Amino acid sequence: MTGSLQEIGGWGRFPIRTTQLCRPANRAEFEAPKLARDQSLLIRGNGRSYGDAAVNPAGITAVASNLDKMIAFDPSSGILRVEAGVLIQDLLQVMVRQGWFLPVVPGTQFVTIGGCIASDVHGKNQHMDGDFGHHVVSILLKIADGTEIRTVPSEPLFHATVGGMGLTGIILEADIKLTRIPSRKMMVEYRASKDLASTVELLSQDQYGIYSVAWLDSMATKQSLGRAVVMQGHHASLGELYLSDEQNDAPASKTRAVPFDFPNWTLNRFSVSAFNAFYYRQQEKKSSFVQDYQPYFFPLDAVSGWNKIYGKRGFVQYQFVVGTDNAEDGVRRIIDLLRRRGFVSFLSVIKRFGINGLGFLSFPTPGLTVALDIPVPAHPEGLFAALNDCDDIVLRHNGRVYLAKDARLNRETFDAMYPLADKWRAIKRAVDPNNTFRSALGERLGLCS
Amino acid sequence: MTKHRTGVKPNGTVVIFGITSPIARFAAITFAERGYDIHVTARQEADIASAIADLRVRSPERHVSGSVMSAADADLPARIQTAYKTFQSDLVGAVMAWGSMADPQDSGFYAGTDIAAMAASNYTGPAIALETIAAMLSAGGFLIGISSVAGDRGRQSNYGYGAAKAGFSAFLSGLRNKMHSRGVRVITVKPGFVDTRMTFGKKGLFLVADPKDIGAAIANSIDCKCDIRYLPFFWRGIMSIIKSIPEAIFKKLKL
Repeated sequence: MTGSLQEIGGWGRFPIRTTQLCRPANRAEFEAPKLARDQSLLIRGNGRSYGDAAVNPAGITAVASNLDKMIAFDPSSGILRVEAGVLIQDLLQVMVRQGWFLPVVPGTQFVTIGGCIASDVHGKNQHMDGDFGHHVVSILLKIADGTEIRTVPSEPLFHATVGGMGLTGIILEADIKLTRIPSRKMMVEYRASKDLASTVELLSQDQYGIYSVAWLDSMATKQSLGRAVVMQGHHASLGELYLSDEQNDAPASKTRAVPFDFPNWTLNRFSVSAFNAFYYRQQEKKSSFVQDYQPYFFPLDAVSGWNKIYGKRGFVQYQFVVGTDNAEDGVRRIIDLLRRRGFVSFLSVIKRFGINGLGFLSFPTPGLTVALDIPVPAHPEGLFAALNDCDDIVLRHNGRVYLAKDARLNRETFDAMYPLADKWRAIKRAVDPNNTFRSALGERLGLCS
Repeated sequence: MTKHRTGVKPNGTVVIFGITSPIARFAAITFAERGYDIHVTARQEADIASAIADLRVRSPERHVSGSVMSAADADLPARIQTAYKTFQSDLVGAVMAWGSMADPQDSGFYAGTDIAAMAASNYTGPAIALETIAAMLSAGGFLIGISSVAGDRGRQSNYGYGAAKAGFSAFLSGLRNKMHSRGVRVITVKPGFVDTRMTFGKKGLFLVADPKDIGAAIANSIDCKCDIRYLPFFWRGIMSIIKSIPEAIFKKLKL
């Protein structure tokens, strides 16, 4: 594999690192990477992780977009075998029309299956159905010495690869168990909550559907802190569609593109506060309705390149989970801290987690998770100091930070947050003793040294 | 069998020559979604198997098959005849996606072997294959040849490739003329820059298109009455300007 020196980053466009970027043209090139001695490699999916998980400044970063074939589907078991570069968008387009869905999907369709496994992504139904890795039946992994292993959930290597950030080897294929759906539509209900306590209360009510998430007004203060619009839903049955006078047709898709980087001052305290207040009022008015699966699960995908709204300096996403006891207190303290230090979050989401992720480095654990997008200021030291202080709060509440979104966590805090990290490192030493597979995130957190 | 408004039959087998091309693959996927059976060709059996598997998951109701074939084969017509006998439905059309590009060496001149290879993969092989298939088609059939804007004018950075494509475009034009009276459409597609292995990492590119979009547009060409199609559309305007530059000026440019 030979690449050309290029500067790339993640979705937050912070940090930007230099790497030898290449794009192997076919499966054969992934199976026989032809690395020079001591050359390191990282497979990059679609680069939708926010920080530096998908770039290898020490060597080669190989984009997996041509590893995108579907291999086989067995309707009697619901198991689909695909190459790891297949995008969720493509998989769903093909399988929804045949009556099947992925049991777990993240917030964007533009993630590869390999990326879903490497980050052990979660969706709006985590509290009921766990994470992506829980529905993977097997993974075909090529490890550093060239061996191809088909690993299954009973093996430690599987638990190291799920959530392993691509550092155990090249994920070539995966078998995923799909779920049957009655239609391509969702029955959706929005309810507005007036403060954090009622948000958490609404999130714990499941009668409206297995999928639930809340958009949080992170600028609201005092009594209104934590007010949100809680969005719940389930796959609509044909009977429900009939009663709602809706058809099971695909709507015409309307994607708008952000054409250029907005100026850095676009998102500031005032504009974000005003937008949040307005958005809250708008969403408050809706109640129950039918929505196509794409806008329900992937609302931001309709605006391509939305990360450019944050300007050239980019943004960080801070996503954490705090454990069930005192979870509300943890969330409250963090939102308060960031607001007091002047860091605005344009898009904030809160969800309930109910199940532990199965990977050694999986993020979910029962509790509350919040994701906050924060623009990187011209002098970012204040932001990083604030986030380090947030880390302390997270740790005190038995929580951790999500690596797929992370751009700045330090090793010490990471080890405290992920008690199984050393178990993971032992597997890494066994399958990759020379640290062939490396990434900027891996080097930062001591996962490939 | 009802006829399409442009006269093309709505089902039957479409042969995709060169399925390892991402553009060809997305054209095949679109044809399968539209109800056509697919027969693919590639140089390696493994590529044929993975293309067939992919198409079968996407369109399980369609017949999908394939055969090993290469632009350089000495017995191309015979291979095509053999494949034809295996089709599960009537042959209705073909997409020709064979092609390769080699750059001039560091000296600025092409290696002789590269010139010969590009002529074979971009012109000779495709011409022989399409001539063979054309003889098997009846009214309502179609042939789509993927040429290139590079064939519209030779320029110093890719004239080896451009010349072969220019020959292919002229061949398609003649074939179109002959097949018109037989009710068979021959469509010349000229893509501009497309994001594939041919262009990855190259400098000086602009308006690079997604092979998914180009492939789908190629398959959907049977819906329009076009004979020569620039994809995306704006390349027609760009090439019109390029072609209008007088030779006395063009020869001094560094395109």
